[in-house]
Amino acid sequence: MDKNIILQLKGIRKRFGDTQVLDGVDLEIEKGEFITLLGSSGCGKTTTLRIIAGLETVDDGQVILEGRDITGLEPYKRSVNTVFQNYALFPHMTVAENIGYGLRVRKMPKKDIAAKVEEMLKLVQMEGFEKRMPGQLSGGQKQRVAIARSVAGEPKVLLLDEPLGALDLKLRRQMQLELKRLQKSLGITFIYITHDQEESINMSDRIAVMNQGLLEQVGTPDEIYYHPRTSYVASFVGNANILYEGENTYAIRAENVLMDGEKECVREAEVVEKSFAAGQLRILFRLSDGQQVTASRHGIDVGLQEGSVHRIGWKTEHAAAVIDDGQ
Amino acid sequence: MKRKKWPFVYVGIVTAITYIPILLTVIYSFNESKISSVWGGFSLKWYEELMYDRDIREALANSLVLACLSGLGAAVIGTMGALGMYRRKSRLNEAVAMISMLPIMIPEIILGMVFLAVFSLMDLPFGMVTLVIAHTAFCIPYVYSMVSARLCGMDRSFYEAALDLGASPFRAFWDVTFPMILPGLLSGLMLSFAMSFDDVVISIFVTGPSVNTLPVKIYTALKTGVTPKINALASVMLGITALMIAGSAVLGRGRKKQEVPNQPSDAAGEERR
Amino acid sequence: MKGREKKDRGRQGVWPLLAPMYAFTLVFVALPVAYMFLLSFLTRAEVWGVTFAFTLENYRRILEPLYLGTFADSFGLAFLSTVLVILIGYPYGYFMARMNAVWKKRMLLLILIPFWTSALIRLYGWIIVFRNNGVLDSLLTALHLTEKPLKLLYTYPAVVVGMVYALLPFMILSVYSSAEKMDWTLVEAALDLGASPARAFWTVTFRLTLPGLLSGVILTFIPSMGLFFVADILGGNKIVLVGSVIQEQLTKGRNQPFAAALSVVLMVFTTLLIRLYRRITGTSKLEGIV
Repeated sequence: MDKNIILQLKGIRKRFGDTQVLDGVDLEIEKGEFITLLGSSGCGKTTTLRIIAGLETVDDGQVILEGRDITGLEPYKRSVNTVFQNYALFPHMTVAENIGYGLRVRKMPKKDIAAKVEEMLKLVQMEGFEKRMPGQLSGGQKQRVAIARSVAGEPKVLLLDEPLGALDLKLRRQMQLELKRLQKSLGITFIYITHDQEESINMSDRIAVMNQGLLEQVGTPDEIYYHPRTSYVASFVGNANILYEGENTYAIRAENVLMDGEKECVREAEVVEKSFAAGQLRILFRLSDGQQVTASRHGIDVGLQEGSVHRIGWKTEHAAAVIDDGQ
Repeated sequence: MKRKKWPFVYVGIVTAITYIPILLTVIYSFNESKISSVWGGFSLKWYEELMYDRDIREALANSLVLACLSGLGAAVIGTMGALGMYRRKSRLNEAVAMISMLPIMIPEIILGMVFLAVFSLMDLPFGMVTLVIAHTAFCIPYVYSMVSARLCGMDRSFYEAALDLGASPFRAFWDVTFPMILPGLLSGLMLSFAMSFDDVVISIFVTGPSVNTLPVKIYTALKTGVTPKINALASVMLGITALMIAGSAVLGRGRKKQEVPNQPSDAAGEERR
Repeated sequence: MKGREKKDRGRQGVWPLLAPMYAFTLVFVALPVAYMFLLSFLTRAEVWGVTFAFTLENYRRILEPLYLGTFADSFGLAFLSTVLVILIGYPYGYFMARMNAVWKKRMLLLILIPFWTSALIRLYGWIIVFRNNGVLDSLLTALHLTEKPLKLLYTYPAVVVGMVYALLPFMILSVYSSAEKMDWTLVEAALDLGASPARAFWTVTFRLTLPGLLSGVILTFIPSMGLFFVADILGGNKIVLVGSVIQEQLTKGRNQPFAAALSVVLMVFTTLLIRLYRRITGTSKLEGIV
């Protein structure tokens, strides 16, 4: 076994009632890496996380931490900690008590706890907040305390369940950078859950795209973005157009769709709709065979009339062949 | 909508009328005169007399013991039940929870009759034992629903976070779940205490000849006539109950005050630093 | 496989928690209530207790004019009291729900104290008000409205006052708890759409607070037939309620089966009311309990 592998998931299956939430998940995670489980809600990413934490049992499969099978091990016996989505800070304990909780239950001497708590507060830049109650903190501050609490016990793996989901956009950007910095300085393996593909690309060493209880593709952000394996990954991560030609399926991202004049523009297409978002104009075309293609351009209006017919196309290297999984 | 005054006036008047008999009871308990309809000046002599009345002291002791035992019994059974049913929901559990609510849903007189019949069928000696059983039965719903309400409003992730940080299930319960349900538990306990301490209808049916509780004592005394001493006794009871209820209300409201709504942005926090 | 075992372990852990509640509820609530139904078909023993001989005699006896009359009187009193309780309690609960948060809290505490204190002791105060030369008499004489003491205590009106007084908090809390949950913008919407305030009240507010009102009726109507001590204390021996008969049969008459039959009839009425409530509101949870 590779010495650098810290956590292995082997054939994890989990069923809730009639729903097969996880249908055989295999994943190897390296020591010190920042890996993101990316997927839309209900894809099984949170269940995977809870299984790693021991908060959920498996129907089948194994969880192996540093070569040891921990599948049936209780959550409190695993050196894996979680940052919960709603932070789950104990409302009746102060910030310091919250951060020291894991150390207290592990019977660390009081003096050492105090020192560690202080160190943690410094790490997340929350010095001076020891005596506050969680109810008196803002969302971002709770976030920091929750992280401090989880890393205080020096876990081998830190699990983060959409920790930035409740924050507003500006604060989320800032926290993304901070989390990345924190992960670098601590050297702990982070397993991060999100449904936001931008977030995953910004932060991760590797991304595991999940869909309907299966891992669709695992790879670096570059691989996922430029070489999507399946049509789901292509459309979820890159917002790519999925086109069918005979037996083959191609993914073409909107910014790579060319219009009028270029030599690749060999298809006739009618403008169906235009919309403006995030500095880009998106134009929806309908091809003569009925398939739809979205193109994007900078600027508010490039003078295209709805209903007008144009010629569009793309360079062959921009049309990635993908496996069609019907998404 | 405009704020009108007369709703306040109406509510005020009705509330005032509600308190008139209570206040009169208390006022007349300080009446010097033996003829209770005549005000003969302020005096504490009826309270003094109460203290020297052995029967009443005994009845008070009985009432306190009864309220404590049935309150505690209900607290233990109701809290454990609420925890168990919260952890595993099932049809059977719901049915049992519904049946356990019956004692406060059906008219008191029926409950009293039911207990009288069953205890005599079981051949239980009427007295403290039967009183405690009957009172526990109508106290459980209070504790159960207070604790259940707390549990339902509680996010499971607090408990899970404790497990995640290395606490054993027992430790996690003790450190996290228990403190969070404690206000509900105490509030239910105090309500139970108040209800048991005040009960007369059920007690009349299930008490034995040798055991008197304070309300039963008052009830029998009232049938023979009103004396200032009973005024004093009723006032003492009112005081004790009011205290319990105020305590229960304060605890029931619990921590809500501390919870500050999430600020949409961290800006305020950043500035403070 | 390990997963299964673990799940099962977790399930077993629940039973010790549930056991006391299950046992107590079964032995001291479910069985006793079931026994009451059985008892109502049994025969009283010569001296003490019951013999297990099936009979319908107890129910036949309820149909005797004496007891039918008692039921009719009780119903009449219960009806009158309930109507008064609604008239006084509904506006009270409604206004309370419209107060601001601070006043709501204050009023809730103010109304909770009499709610949870013994009805017996609260009624006791009315004796002071009603008795000969009591507070009310003195007041009326002082105002020159009456010349000689009225005989107020031990009269029907005194019992009605007592009933209303004992039951009012139940209605107030029921109405309040359903009015409190109401979305007041609905009323504004009705007004905005052109409804007069009265019509808006009738078509929106009243309909949405109906569960509270009905649950208040359940909590007052049937119980008022059982409150024998109200009739006892404020009515002397002149007014006999179903509750008084039950109590008498249990204590003096030592006729448990007959008392059980009377209780069953009251229970059936309660169940019917709750059924009706469920039909109208669609839920079984009563408003305002605990």
